[in-house]
Amino acid sequence: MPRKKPKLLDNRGGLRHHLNPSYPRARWTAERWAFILHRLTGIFLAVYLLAHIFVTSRVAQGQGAWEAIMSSIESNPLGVVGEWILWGVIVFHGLNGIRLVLAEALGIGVGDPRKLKVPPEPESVYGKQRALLWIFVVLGFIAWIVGGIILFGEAGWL
Amino acid sequence: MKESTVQLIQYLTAALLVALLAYHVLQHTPVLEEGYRVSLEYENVVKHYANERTVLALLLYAALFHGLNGLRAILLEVLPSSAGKAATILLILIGIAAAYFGTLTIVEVA
Repeated sequence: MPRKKPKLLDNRGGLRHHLNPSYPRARWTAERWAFILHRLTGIFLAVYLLAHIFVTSRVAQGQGAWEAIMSSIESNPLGVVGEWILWGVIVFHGLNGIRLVLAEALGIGVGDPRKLKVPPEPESVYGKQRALLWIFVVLGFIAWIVGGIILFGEAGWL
Repeated sequence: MKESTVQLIQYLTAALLVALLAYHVLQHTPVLEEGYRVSLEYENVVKHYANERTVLALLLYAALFHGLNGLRAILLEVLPSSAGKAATILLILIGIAAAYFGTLTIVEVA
């Protein structure tokens, strides 16, 4: 009986492949969660950057324009919570970005490649970079909490 | 420009942004300022622009390249190649407009 031909991975699968957890046939590793979160936080930050450029441009229009837009953010409880969420997004994307630069660009902390098998398993991800990922998750969480204490403290909520 | 060169710049801007953003965030914390809200008062913001215009300009260009090129990488994966090229052109135009707008703010305030 002929062996079943393994399905080739298409790297241009479209949006449905991002939404389908069974494709590509890889396990839901910590790196995969980090990859998805890195993309989501990256999209969020790219959109925020454009909004940030627009908001900060108000300072060029004088004190009145600046204070009007700042008070609209500071007086809104959602504005304070939004700043805290933004801080968490920055911390995650930044720390995971450091891991990615080390692992992808410099090859630091990546395990040695092993003999290929079907379905392929990404043994090369099980290097020290995985420990770094969890260290950064813990450090990031601490930084997020500290940021929350500062933000909520200054808003008079603590 | 070769895609490998673009990706190399993506990594370089990532490393640069870690340093610049850490400094940028610290300037709004009690570590370098009196506090977050105080650092956002008009006088302090204007002073910040006047003293840090080079850092702010570098931060603006690095963040725009890194952010918009990251979006482009995602769009190239999920869109067909013809739409991917259109997305690249659109993101370049958005980047140029945002860089102009941001630079104008830095120059005017500083």
